[in-house]
Amino acid sequence: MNTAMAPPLSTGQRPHRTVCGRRSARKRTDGWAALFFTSPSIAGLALFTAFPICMSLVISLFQWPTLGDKTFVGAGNYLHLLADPIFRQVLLNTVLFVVLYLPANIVVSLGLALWLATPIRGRQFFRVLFFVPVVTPMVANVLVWRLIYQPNGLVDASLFPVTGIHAPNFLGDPRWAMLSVVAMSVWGGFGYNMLIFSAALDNIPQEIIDASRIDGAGPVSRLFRVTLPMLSPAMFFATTMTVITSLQVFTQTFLLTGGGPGAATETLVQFIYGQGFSSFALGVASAGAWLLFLFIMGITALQFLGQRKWVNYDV
Amino acid sequence: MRAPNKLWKAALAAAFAAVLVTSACGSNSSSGGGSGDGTKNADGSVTLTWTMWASGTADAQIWQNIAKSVTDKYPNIHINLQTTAISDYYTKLGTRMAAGTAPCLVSSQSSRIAGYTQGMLPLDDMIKQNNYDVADFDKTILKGLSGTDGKQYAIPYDFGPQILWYNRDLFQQEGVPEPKVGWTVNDFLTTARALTKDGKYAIALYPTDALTMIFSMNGGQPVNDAGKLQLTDPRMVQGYQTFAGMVTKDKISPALPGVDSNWSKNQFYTGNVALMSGGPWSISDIKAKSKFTFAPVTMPAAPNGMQTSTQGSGFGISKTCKDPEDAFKALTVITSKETLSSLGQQGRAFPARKSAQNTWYDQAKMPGAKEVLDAGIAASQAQRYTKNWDQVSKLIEQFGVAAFNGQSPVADFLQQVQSQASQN
Repeated sequence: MNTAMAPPLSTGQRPHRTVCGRRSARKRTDGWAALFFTSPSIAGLALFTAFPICMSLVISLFQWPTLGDKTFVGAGNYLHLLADPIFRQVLLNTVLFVVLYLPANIVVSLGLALWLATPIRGRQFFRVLFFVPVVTPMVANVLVWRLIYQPNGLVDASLFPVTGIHAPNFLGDPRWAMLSVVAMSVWGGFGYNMLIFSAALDNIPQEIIDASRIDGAGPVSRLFRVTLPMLSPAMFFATTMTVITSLQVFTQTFLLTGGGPGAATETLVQFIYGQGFSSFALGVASAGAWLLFLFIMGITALQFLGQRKWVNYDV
Repeated sequence: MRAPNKLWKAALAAAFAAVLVTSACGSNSSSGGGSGDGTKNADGSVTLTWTMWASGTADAQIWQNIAKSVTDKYPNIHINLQTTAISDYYTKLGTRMAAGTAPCLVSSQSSRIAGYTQGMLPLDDMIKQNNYDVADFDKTILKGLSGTDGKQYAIPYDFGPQILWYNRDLFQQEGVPEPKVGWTVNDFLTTARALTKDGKYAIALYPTDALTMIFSMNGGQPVNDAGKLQLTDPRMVQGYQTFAGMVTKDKISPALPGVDSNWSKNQFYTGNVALMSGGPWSISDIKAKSKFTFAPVTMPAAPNGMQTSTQGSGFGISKTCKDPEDAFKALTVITSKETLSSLGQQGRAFPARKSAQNTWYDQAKMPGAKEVLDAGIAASQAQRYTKNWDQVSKLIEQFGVAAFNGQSPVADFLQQVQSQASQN
């Protein structure tokens, strides 16, 4: 096993390549100094990031119960997951969440950022107000939203006396549960993107706006031909980050619906959590985590490829 | 630029290699003994770690005092008590057992012990060698804390038969006569219909609560004698159909607002429903969270007589413990009559020892409680559980909610949970 430990370059060893004189010798010393100074963070990175990552890859190739024998199954866990109808359903649920959440989040945050960019009273106050849900703990949010959603809750109680119709059982009905989770998530998450858009709007040079005015652009064409293209780098950043975080959605569904009713709101991360900490099938959980990682990587790569077509970096 | 670049690569390769070596070593040591708890010092003293759940500082202090009483009796034994919130307790226990660093003294509920017996010592031989008299303990909970191999893995401290608690104020307000020991399923239905009016309901039925109530109704058990899940057993299907019908057809229970395991209790505490299923352990929570007078009653009796199931908790010894003899001595103190009496007196637990139960009745000051619990205990059996009970109960919540709200057939829900839970 010790053979696996590759000996690091010792100082006495000369590189095989012919190197020319002092300059590169000094560079070499710089390299060692750099290594010395960065070693604490390299050690930290190795111990707390690289090690767990490699370990999870190793675990994903085993049938790894917490108690009892571990058996090597190769790609078995991956094949099991890909053939598992429940895994496919949670994958679909996760994609559905992203498809519903992303446009809603961008529209709400962009709309409010544009509104806040107009000269209105209490602009700072609204900025803070809209950001509050981002910083309040999700557990507290969930308790409040349960009271809003439940039968005889806020929505039902205010709807029924006026219309005579009961509101749906939002979290108890499989047809409504995902929409309810998305609505709460948008409320809790739009503030962050709104702040990004707000900052990007403030950075648009006034000369460009003025020039477009002189050229005779009305408010609508100014929005679509000047403001939005100027915002495209911020929009690219916001959509990429939002897709990554929403593919990892967990807290909302875990606390608000517990993945139910049925498997209507069970997401990938929640499935992985259940496999790992409820069934203690650590191999399957690790394999699921790697599949999620590959999925996120793939989607993000596609987004980077696609950005050339719509993101404008000219200022 | 080349030389430092190479250096970086070498450094990264070395770090990576080190990681691989440590990971390989890590996986080796986890299957071996590792550094088990309870190593004896040269002077004969030993420190044993005891892991237990606790809901707060006051609760943790109760257990701390018990830990101290072990050292009072056996001065060479010191207990290092570690308390965790119940929500994280089993995750922590499972990972520590997997790493070979489980504490010597392990606590477990009867509903969860099946998942951990592989990492625990059978206590039968030590019970014999130490002449520890277990006849005083309730038989059903001793059975509940034994494995499918018939061996005893933990000694109980508390237990209780499933009973119903009811809101006396609400019964009076609605003019419905209070239930009595020995009432039947038909009495229950008549009472429930009379209670359901003015926006109030008889009971809040939740899939996991109903699971144990089915046993009282028709004798159906979710798990067979061999420890295998049998949710599609005809009695389970019929029982669940009856309870789901109480929500959808009889409407004696409100519609379920989603997956929320505290919902049925909260409905009772806030006075929206008149009855709640539970055990003697529920009393302190009801006292703390409600503002009405309440009383216990037995589970409604089926036509062939009353039957109910018991649950409880106890303490065992982990396999990796270096000093099981002293750990067993500690167990005899923390499950002694004195300890269980003090737990009963403080209202923390309904003692698993018959001789200590009067302390609990004295502090509960609830007329009729003894009659109800005696009748319940006499008609009770150990509730059986599977190894993956946490997963099973989560699936039952997830899929049961839709079935109880009438959005999916009961048989499908049970089939779904049965097949998912049997996968691993």
